[in-house]
Amino acid sequence: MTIHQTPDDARPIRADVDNRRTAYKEVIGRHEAHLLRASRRMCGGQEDRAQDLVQDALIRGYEAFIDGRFQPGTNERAWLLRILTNLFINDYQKRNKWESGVDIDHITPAEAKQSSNGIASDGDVPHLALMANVMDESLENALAGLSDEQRACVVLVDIEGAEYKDAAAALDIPIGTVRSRLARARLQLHALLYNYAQDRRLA
Amino acid sequence: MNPTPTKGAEDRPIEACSHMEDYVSALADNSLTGPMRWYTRLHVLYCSRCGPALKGLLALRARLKALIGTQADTKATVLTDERKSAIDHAMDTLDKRE
Repeated sequence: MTIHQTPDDARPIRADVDNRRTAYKEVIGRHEAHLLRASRRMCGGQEDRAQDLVQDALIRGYEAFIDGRFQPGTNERAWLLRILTNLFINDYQKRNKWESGVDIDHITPAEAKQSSNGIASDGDVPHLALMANVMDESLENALAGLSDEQRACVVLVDIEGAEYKDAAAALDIPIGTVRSRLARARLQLHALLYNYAQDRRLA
Repeated sequence: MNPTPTKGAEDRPIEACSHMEDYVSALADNSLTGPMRWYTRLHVLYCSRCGPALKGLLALRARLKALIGTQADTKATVLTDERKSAIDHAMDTLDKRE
């Protein structure tokens, strides 16, 4: 069963609550796993927090669904991912990350450079070999080591394949900020992985 | 805005020229367009720092993409029963609100 919405009627079918719920539960079924994966990564592997976020996102989604805020032709996955990301942002804002006086868009590059300088070695390591030797767990841990804001960008764009404009909308930031935040996140991520490789004597 | 050749820069993973970091990163995910794409490609071609940086970023992105479908990715891909019950309860409340 699909969500029946026509261009002539932007509001979802209200004829029958059971049908509507069935339709929405099918939406959940199609995207639950995907949302959980994205949420888990955004939350740096914190399972309870990730499950809470998905739960809240799906409830918000149903609210929007019955209120007719789910537009015809909308990409369900992108729509739910956007709700999830918005909730994630609200969550970390509540945790006062923004009120700490630290602007992550500016401080992180310095940290990344510092980290990168610290790991410079005499031997060159081919990037492909470095990445091939990095275990999934290490990569997930490195992801978890990023700030919430940077991790959300990487998860949306590099893992989930979102375009900059979609990530910008989901994160409520300008596209240019997505670009710079991604650049800094990638630098830092690579530095973390390089450190890991050195520690494991893979480098 | 000339490329900044640095002796031994290849030894330092992903250390692009500071003024080019965003653009090299954007080039790696193919989101860069217009004259800046052209300029960045040219820069990367001749810059001893940004060239290796681009290769590193491309490898990193490929590795990140490969996380989809890994063992860690496919385990526990459903909400707990407790969460599902909470969603049902919330849906009941929302349905009654109408």
